[in-house]
Amino acid sequence: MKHKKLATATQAAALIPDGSSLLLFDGYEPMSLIRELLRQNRRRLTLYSCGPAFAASLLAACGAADHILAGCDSESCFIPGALHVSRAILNAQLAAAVNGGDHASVAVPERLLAKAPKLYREIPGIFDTGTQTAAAALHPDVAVVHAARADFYGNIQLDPSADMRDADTLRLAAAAKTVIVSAEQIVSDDAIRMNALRGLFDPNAVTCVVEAPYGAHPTAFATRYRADEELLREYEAQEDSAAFARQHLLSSPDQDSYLAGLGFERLISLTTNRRGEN
Amino acid sequence: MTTSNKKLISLKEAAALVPDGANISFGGFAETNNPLSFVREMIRAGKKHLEISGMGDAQSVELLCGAGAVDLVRVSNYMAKNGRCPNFCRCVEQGAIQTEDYSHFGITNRFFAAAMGIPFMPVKVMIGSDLCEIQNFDNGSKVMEFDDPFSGERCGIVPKLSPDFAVIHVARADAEGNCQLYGITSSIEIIARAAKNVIVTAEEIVDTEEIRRTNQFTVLPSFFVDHVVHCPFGAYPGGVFTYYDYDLEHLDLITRSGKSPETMTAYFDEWVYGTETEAAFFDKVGVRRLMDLRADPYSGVSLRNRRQFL
Repeated sequence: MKHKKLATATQAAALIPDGSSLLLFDGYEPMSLIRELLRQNRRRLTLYSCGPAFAASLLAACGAADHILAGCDSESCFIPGALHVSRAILNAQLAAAVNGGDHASVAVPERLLAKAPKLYREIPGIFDTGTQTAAAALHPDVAVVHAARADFYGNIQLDPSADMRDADTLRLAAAAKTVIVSAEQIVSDDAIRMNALRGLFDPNAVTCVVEAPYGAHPTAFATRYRADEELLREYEAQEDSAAFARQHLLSSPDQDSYLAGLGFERLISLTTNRRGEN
Repeated sequence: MTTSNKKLISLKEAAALVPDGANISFGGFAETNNPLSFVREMIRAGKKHLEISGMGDAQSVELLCGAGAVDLVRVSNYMAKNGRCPNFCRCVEQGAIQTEDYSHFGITNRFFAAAMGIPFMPVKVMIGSDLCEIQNFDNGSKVMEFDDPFSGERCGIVPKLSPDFAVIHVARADAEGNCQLYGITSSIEIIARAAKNVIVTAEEIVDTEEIRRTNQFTVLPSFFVDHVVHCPFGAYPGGVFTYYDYDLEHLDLITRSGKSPETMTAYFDEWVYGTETEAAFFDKVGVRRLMDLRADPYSGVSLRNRRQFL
């Protein structure tokens, strides 16, 4: 019999104890779960951020993260306090873990060899190629992803209108020991079958699923709503980001109250596609 | 028909276009696709003496009768999800409104004649029943029995009916007024073609390119539409197939409130006059409640509403 995996945000956050390492993906940010982690006052997290995830900045600003390794290709998107590598290097490290290797042979800039010797090293080439550089496989404790649709059994999908080019990156979540998914909508397994080509993960790899409409707010969820630029700009402009976050992002006890606080009009004004359909 | 390309207007502006005493027709059938944001805005604006000609538009008429906004109704079987429409029934029983009783197909054919630009339509419905025998304010212009000049068969004719306004709720529209709807469409295309002015309220406003790309869902082309209003959840507490399901709890509240004028007034005070805008109304309903009513992409209705969210 198939096992139902529906959980509340509180239950899901309990799977991420202090000191965990957390894998995040830019553009698929489970902000409702991140808010729950901050409400529960998580500390000493290590973050692996595929892209410049706002969640990583927020967790760091609120004192929840000790270390951040971010795969960003543009300095303008760098996360304060993070060790930055290219997306290609971070993705290769996660892919190595998914494929059962202990490292990825990739070109690593010299500054990283000196800065993070536990992660990046020079190694002898095995095909008479002299030396080469290698990056250690990453095994995050937990991957957290915000997706469009999930059924009760952990089948996870993007919307029919989604660009599936991100799917390969999102599938790197399998590098983590635990995969937690928040979804815009819990749908029937018939709806999942109807949209079968949009699947993301093997449901056996998904630990639990949380329904979170507008769960990526204030960031965008490309097939349903745009980023809340006004709020993000205000956040960026603050000297004390943590105080701003406490007042505007964390003052509600749960996601329902958070959405009620934003209000119907604001949510609708951000919405670009109510159903994610073509 | 308006030819301006500035058809997109606010709900308040659209409601202001309908004068007291207008002959108006609403789209929607049973608990689906009723333009209830528009109806609530009409009530907030204090519309009076309306003449309503409709096809199964019970939800709209029930609220307007409760608000004392109606004088005349061409009715074709009004039922609520959970029984009678108490406000409409009370108005009829107390003589506060006049009614003319049609079958669904009979009134639809009156619209159809107007839509086709012809004076009447032959029908095989209503004749031989009290729907034909009893004629009130439409006496002489409701339905007439006659012999088919070709076969001699006994049939009826109904004259064209062209409302001043049709208010239609659809799933998607562009700013030009091209409209799309999924699932049953009832008689909305016919009512829109029959009416002198057409106001469309739409769940989503999309680009014209999007309408072109998915033109198989287009039910009304722009040249039938005079004004477009963006009304997300605009059929609530009814539903829109593939968008959201009806809210049975709120429909029950309206039916319970409708049992007496005092309780109905209390409903309006709290939910309609007490909310200055539709955004305020939906804040009161609650975003969570609206999210729970969202339709499953497969069935087109809410898993929670149909007790499949386990």
